[in-house]
Amino acid sequence: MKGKRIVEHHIMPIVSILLVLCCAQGVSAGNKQIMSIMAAKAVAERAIVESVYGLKLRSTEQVDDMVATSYVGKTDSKTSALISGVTFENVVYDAEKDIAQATAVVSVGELTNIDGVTVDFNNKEFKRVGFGTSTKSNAGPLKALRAAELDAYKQLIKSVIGFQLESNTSVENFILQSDQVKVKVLATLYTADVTDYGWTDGGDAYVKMQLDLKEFSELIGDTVTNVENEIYEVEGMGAQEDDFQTNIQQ
Amino acid sequence: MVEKNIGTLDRINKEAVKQLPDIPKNGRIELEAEGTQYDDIIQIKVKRYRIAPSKERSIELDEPTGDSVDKERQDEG
Repeated sequence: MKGKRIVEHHIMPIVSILLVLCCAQGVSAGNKQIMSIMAAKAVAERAIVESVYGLKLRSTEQVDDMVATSYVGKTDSKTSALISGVTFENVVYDAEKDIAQATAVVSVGELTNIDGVTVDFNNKEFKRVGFGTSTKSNAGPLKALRAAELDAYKQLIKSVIGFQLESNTSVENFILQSDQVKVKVLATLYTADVTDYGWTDGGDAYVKMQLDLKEFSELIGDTVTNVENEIYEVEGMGAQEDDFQTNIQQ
Repeated sequence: MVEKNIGTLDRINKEAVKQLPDIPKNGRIELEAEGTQYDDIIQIKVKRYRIAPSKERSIELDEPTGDSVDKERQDEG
């Protein structure tokens, strides 16, 4: 009996350890999940910084002879700030697609924004969602979503701040023919908020973004006169692939 | 998506050109403008522009064309 107890005492912990190891091995997926979640959190944090601190956006659209293959649309954004107190909620991971989602949340008091303007948000809560993946081949929808986000920022700037136009036009028998049209946008934007996002059946992404014009006018110290509504909403679109570039390569 | 953006660029440009007081029947227009676009409403203000009208030449039937001159020269040779 004593011998049996000794065996049980020694064997049971070993069996337990083995069971834990076996189970852990079954669940483990390397560091993919961690990396994807970290990427999602970083994207969500960037979105928070863009909303709260602001971003600088530079965009150029150009077309020659109104031919789609000549169209060039390029948008760059830049932001850099350290915002403390960001927490994450709704962290979800899709193991099949290796895509993670995270929502960054922060309450903001007084802050000096990208234009050097000190703003008191009175502990207003900002929430932004971010997606991330560590698998390059699965990044298409996420890139499209970022493109849609930048498109929405650009539309807001074109509406409330403005754009510059440079063009060459030919006239034949009083009929206008746009030969070269270039529209440029360069501005900073803050307090924009995402209200909805998603993907169409075709895989294009959309982002609905709104700006509280009353709040924005107070921040920039100028009234936005060209927009009637107090809350202005736009819908940005982004594609996963450049069809025209693909056609040229084929 | 691209077609929609191209359509918008065309519309913005034509709105700007229409503001010019002296559009020629034929010619070229270079311009720079500033504006805003709120939904479908485009507000634009032209800052600089240059118009180069096309020179219209009348056809003189008595004047020999380049082809006939060349032919004459070939005949002489």
